[in-house]
Amino acid sequence: MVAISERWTMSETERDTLRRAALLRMVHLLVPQPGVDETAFQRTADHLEVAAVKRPDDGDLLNRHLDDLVLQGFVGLSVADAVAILSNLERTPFFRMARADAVAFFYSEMDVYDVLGYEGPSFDKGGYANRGFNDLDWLPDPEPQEESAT
Amino acid sequence: MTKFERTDTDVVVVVGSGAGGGTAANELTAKGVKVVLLEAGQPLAKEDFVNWERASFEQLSWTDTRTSSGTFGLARSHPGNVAWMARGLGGTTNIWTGVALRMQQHELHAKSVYGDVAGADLADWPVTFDDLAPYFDAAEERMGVSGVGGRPRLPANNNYKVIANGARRAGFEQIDTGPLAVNSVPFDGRPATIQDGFATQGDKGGARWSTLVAEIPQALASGLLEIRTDSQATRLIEADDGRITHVEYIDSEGNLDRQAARLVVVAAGAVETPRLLLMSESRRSPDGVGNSNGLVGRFYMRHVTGSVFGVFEKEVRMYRGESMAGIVADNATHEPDRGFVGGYHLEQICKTPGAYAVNGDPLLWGDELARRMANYIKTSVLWICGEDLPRRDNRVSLNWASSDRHGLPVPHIHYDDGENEVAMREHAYAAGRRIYEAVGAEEVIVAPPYPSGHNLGTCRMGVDDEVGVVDKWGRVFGNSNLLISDTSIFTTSGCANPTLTLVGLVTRQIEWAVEQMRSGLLTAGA
Repeated sequence: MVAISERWTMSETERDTLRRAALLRMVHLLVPQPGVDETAFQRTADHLEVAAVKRPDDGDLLNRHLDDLVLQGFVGLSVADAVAILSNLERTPFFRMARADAVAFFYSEMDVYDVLGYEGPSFDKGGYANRGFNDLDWLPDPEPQEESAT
Repeated sequence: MTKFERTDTDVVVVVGSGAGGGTAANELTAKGVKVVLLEAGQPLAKEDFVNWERASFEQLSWTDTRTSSGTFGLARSHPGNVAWMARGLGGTTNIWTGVALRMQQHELHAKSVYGDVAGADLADWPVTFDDLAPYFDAAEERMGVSGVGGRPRLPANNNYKVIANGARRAGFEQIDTGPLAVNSVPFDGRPATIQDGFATQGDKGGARWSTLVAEIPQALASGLLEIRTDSQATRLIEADDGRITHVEYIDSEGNLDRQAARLVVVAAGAVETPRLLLMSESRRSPDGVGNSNGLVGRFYMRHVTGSVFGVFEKEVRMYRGESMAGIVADNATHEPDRGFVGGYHLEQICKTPGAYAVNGDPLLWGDELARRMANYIKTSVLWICGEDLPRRDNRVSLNWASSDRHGLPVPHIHYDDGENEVAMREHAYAAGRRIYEAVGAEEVIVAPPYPSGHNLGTCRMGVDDEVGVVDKWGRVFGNSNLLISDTSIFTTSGCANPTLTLVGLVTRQIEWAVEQMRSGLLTAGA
């Protein structure tokens, strides 16, 4: 893998723009949840960048892999071709880290919770004691439990 | 808060404030003994907890570097955090779900009952069920376990309705909302649950027992407890006669300090406890305190785990209510004709979306992940908790090639799956599948283990020092004033979530230790 900096002559800003586009495409392919606002994918990409900076060794790893994706024209590829590229990376430490970070972050964003129908924080609303903790009505009530053992 | 001198040889030093250390501190101070409690993490109050999985994970988890190896999938999917435990006042009781099952009689005699199992290094516990029975009772009373002692069972929530109906139709009979250390009615000054969920995010209401809301406040009220938070123990100072004279620790300012002790109670969990012993080299113990037999850190057990997801046409909303208030116990038996020894419980569990997404399948991404997540509110989850067998080479050791922020070697966790574990997991997956199919699941998915909150056996109890690291009182062989008071001392894992058994063991242990101290024994001396 060759860093872009060694191949192309371009400003740091231009490089970062290309890396960012590749990262955002990757996020969309990792968590292609319908109905989610674009900003959630952006925030997830932000998170991956921040997480990478917190882990200096991994930060370099992220940039090197993004450079490689840029060189492959990742952003302009069809979905099938872009997925194939990521699939080939599945077993790499880079992909495992990016997948785990992206998935954990994205699916714990409040607006993504809304899309899933998950209601989020409950304590300040009095829990679910009076908000449907036992409202499932498509099965009969379970048989009464044996009363408390001694 | 009471303060004790660093040189006070009359105090007992307790390392760790979780189920073991918090309970030990309360038992000791209740009997008039002075205690200095060292907690590696920050001070916490239940009001600090956050009903949001991401922020809570960062607030409560032990995230220091660890390394791992072995054939289990977690060594590849979660190499830096194969075990999940907490940091901060209250320890891992801040993130437990409250399942308060007892170890069973046959599980305490695993070697005698199961016989020789290829690849396993079984031993019998040096205590019997009759020895422990009164302490199980005592633990249930102190924790206010629902469903025992006349306390009502917790009510059925949505996830329970799915699992109880499915289990009944699939032929299971021992189905209930469990013995849970979650208040079904107010108990011990703590409220009944408002079915808020978020037990693994600290439990803001305090309906679930933890040392943070129960044991530690009681111990503080005695005036005999000093808590030092952000204070990580780094070494036990051993005299030539084997007594531990001091505990060395890095204090909240980052300075190395030491506290004198008459008795030391180590309760840092089954990863950090063996690490501390192994780091405590001395003239007498060049390979670490208590490790002359080379057994410290060995026989690391988790539990046989894995998950089964049932996806339905209609909504389940498993996150509403107490996460694990539903247990199927029929298979918690030893029936070797099933192709494995020991048994397992099936326990309902709520995974919040982020945890469900990231741990449902450690390789999943893309369209299939999005499809599963679109079904999140129509999904029910069962978790397997089965007996894991001790193996000599499954162990916690020191990784000298990697150091933490204090420059200390990080713990390395090695775990190979055994044949018994694989056979049991397959049996449990099939049972979970039958349960969900019996109530019309459109899809059943099985998922591999995720980082374990149950970590056991790394300083195990034995009849002598050829078998274990500690005796039947949890005292380290060869170190007259050193007790271990966490799940490290479990000789075998059984298939019960370990906290209730631990609280019982520690209650028994401290009762004995105080008697010894009153008789003038168990002192570090001058």
